[in-house]
Amino acid sequence: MNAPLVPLVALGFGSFLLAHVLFWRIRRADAPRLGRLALLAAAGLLLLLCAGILWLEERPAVLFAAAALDLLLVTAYFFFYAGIARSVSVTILADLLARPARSLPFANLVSTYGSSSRFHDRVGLLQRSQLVVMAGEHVELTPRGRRLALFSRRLAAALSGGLHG
Amino acid sequence: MAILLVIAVVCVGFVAVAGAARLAEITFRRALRSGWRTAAVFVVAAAAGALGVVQGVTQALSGSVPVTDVPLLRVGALALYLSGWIGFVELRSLLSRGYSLRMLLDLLEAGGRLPATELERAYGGGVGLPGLLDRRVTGLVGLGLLDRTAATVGPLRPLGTLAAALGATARRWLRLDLVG
Repeated sequence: MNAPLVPLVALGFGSFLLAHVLFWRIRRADAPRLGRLALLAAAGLLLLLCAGILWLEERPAVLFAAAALDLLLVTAYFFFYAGIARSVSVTILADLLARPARSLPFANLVSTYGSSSRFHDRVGLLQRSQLVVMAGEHVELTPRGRRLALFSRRLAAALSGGLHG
Repeated sequence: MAILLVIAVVCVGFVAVAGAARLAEITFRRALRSGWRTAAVFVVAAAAGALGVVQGVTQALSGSVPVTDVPLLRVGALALYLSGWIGFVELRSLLSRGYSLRMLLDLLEAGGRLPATELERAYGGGVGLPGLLDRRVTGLVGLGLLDRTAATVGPLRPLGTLAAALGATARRWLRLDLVG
């Protein structure tokens, strides 16, 4: 197997990762921006395919293997990124790391987390995604939010045994 | 055509193996009480499925493509198959632990409307924020990342320190200040 898989995959995945880090550092936001991340991943894959077809003039089997390896790395990165951008567990670990004793009373953890705006940020994110609306002091499901909640409940029952949160 | 055939073999193989693993999880729920045992079932199923997919691709392609292409198509098939598993694990995690999805479900179970202050208390079917954090801490203890006593969370174990440093560094690099 004497095909230039490594350079092609390095080009596709490397350009995605570089663009991602640069973009995220230049334009700061706490929203996960998964759609934008997926676009950058697609651009990296496109670059890989263009380089393979136009520059290296590789055969389809090489392009397929390189694209599949790129997809594997991108999927693994999305898995990692989901933890970085959303995980409460990572927040707890990072909070403990910042303390000299690397520990804290559970009550303090609850009050620290509760006094941050994280919960309200989630509501804001749901609002921006048009899944809920604010009606005075109330949070209301939109028809879209209702459909997603019903679908998630059914899918969770089938795949993971329940949506516990 | 050969690439489409490979993709079809991977899709069929993945759906069959993931479905069988989930069925085993449901059937042997009592025996698989710990998360580690369930994870072991899925890892064994994924590994066995990988061998099956490689074998299936080799047989499906025999004689129809140049010999030099077969190893490349096998590599591509394996990468696609593993991507499917990573996506599946991520989806399961989201459907089991999804914070925002659970908020939607709480709203649904409350008739579609709740006062904003009540939503926080009603989280997770009524466990609220303490319940959410307790579940996460229990999970981290189960993974061997930290210790816990009745009232105290921590200290971090070596693996937990490593995971915390990795997470904190990545968040700092990506300028994700208030997330999670």
